[in-house]
Amino acid sequence: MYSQTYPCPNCGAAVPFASAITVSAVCGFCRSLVVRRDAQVELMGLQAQLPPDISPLQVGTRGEFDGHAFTLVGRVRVGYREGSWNEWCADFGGGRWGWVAEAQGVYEVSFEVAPPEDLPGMAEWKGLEQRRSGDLALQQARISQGRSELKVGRSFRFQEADYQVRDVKQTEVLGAEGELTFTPLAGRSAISGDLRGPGASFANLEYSEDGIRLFLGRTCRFSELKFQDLRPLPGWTADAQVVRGQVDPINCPQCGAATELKAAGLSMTCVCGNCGSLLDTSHPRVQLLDIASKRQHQPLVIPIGRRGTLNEVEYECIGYLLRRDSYGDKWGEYLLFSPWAGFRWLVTYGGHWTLVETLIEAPREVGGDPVVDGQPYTMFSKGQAQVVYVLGEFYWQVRLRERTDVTDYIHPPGVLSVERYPDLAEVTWSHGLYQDPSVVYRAFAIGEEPPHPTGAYLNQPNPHREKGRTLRSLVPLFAFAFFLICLGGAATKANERVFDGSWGFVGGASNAPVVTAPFEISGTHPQALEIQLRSEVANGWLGTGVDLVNANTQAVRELEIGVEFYSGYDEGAWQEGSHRASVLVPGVAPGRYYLVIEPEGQPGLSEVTYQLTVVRDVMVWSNFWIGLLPLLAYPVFRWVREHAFERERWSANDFSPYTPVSEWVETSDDD
Amino acid sequence: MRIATPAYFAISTALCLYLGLASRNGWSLVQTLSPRAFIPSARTLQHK
Repeated sequence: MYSQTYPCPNCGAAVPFASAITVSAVCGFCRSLVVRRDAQVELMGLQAQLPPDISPLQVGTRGEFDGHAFTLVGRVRVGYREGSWNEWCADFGGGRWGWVAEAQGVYEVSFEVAPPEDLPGMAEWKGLEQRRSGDLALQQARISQGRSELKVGRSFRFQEADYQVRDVKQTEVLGAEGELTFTPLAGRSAISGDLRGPGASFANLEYSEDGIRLFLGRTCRFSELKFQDLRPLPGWTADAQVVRGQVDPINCPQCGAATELKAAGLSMTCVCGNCGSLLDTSHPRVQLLDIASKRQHQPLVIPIGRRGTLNEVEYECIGYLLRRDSYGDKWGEYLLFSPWAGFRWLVTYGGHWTLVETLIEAPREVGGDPVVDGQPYTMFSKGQAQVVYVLGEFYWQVRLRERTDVTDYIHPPGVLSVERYPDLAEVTWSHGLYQDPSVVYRAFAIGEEPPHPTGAYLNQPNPHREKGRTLRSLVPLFAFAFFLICLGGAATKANERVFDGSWGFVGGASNAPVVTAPFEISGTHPQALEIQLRSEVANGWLGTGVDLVNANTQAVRELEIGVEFYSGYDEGAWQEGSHRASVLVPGVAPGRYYLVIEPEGQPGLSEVTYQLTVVRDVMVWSNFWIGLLPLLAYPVFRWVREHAFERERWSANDFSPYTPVSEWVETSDDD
Repeated sequence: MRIATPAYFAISTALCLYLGLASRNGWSLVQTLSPRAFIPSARTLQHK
């Protein structure tokens, strides 16, 4: 394992170089910047004390990126007008090195690559490269060049992929520790352009006195990098001692009150807990951003500083925003912070809660809709949101009355939001999941029952859909079984005609009962019979009392069958009734039977013939239709409830897929 | 514990079983849930 130690030229303390790739190191004793040249080291001045932060990384932390192990050997704190961040130098072994940047709770791993020859400004740089490093004029020339070449929205193509400039800032080295692959002279300036590529990939173009440098990499979550040997964090890990920058309270320039930053090193804005003034905390010298005209008192469900565990991650509530849309609806956003997992938001409205995290890559689109985890999201709302109240601290410079364009897409319990700041090219995608209010209350030890949520929230899971989840698999199963039984039964019926007879009837005369000859109901099991009556009666009725008699047991089933038929002319021909009728006799056991028929008819009915037919083993279709009722009633009830909930969710929404009831009325009126 | 879905399961299962038996034995759900017992004698017909 490589290790070399040099005496510090300033204090004589040992300055170790544990990596073969580094050229400079900061003396841990006197903070002198030591640069090694051949077998000697050279003093390059003193490094300022690094501002305190709550980063879990430290020199010596090990990690893994795309299966390649690395060790953090040093860091440089880079500042810009609105904040600062850590760039960690990662030694991947074998002479390969890269950078791990901490940005708003996520990590950007990048590697320097040779910029393409056709990169804008390369030709000019070739003309300047002979000038020595540290030349102020060269530095200014390079910064000027960077400003002119890097414009927000401009596209570049690196290694067969397209990148677009999202942010351009002038950076400055604030300080360093450990070993680095360059000489981090304090105050070294550069123009840095952040470019977004496909997926989570990004590029960084840096214009400085060292030339044009290109870094390509990918944004990662903490868990992806499999860090080990992390820094114990005071207040978060039990065995932590403050060894790197005591987090001192900041003092409000307006009222002098002290406030302790909870996400030191990441916080860009903080609200004074005493006077409510908005403070710029991006630099050690705290500045006033906005004077609170009056202290607002918003009741917070989760107090600032309260910790709670959600999804097995412990968070601290460090900030609160109240936002309002163009309709005047207000909702609260609690900013949660974990030194390891980064930032999350708990968004609350009307008793509903959603846990939101910023996505590190824009979701892909299918048919115009964004897709997350294979689920397409539907546009729900589009409008502007304005910050109307702030409390606590934030990782960007929040401003009161700040407006953002917000578009929400939903796939309950998920919600996807895209925010665009009118003045910036930056587009932020975030994804949220609906939380059971009681889970949030328990997590943050809020000693009361959550109020019952009002209305149907945009990403609230449809409770009726949840209830019907099992039903959705049962209904097709039972429907299939039901149809199989009914249609299978119908297909196997004999429908055999076993008796047919006809007789005359004279209205007003004495018509004696008819006893038919026996007939056979064959088969092995009880079956349904259909007894059909047919008579060509005209403007009258004919009824028959039919007794179905078992010839062996003399058991009898009494039935009534009648036909009636009327016709005439009244502003046109009319007719009603039928010449045919039938009656079903269920559950008739096989055997020999005969009929006893007692006809009666309308007095005055002229002589008419009537015919009786017996068909055995027929399908009882009423079973099918009546069976459908209990089978479908409950699923239909569930569907109606589910549909009503969705209507409520989308009510008064411009993007609703449901036709408003008012339009139904208008449509019917038109009709 | 929610009982609506288990109840639906039980009722639907019973319904399918009943319909299977009804289909085989020619029973009618409208008229009766079991085969109507025959009047044991045809003596009532004697007066006709």
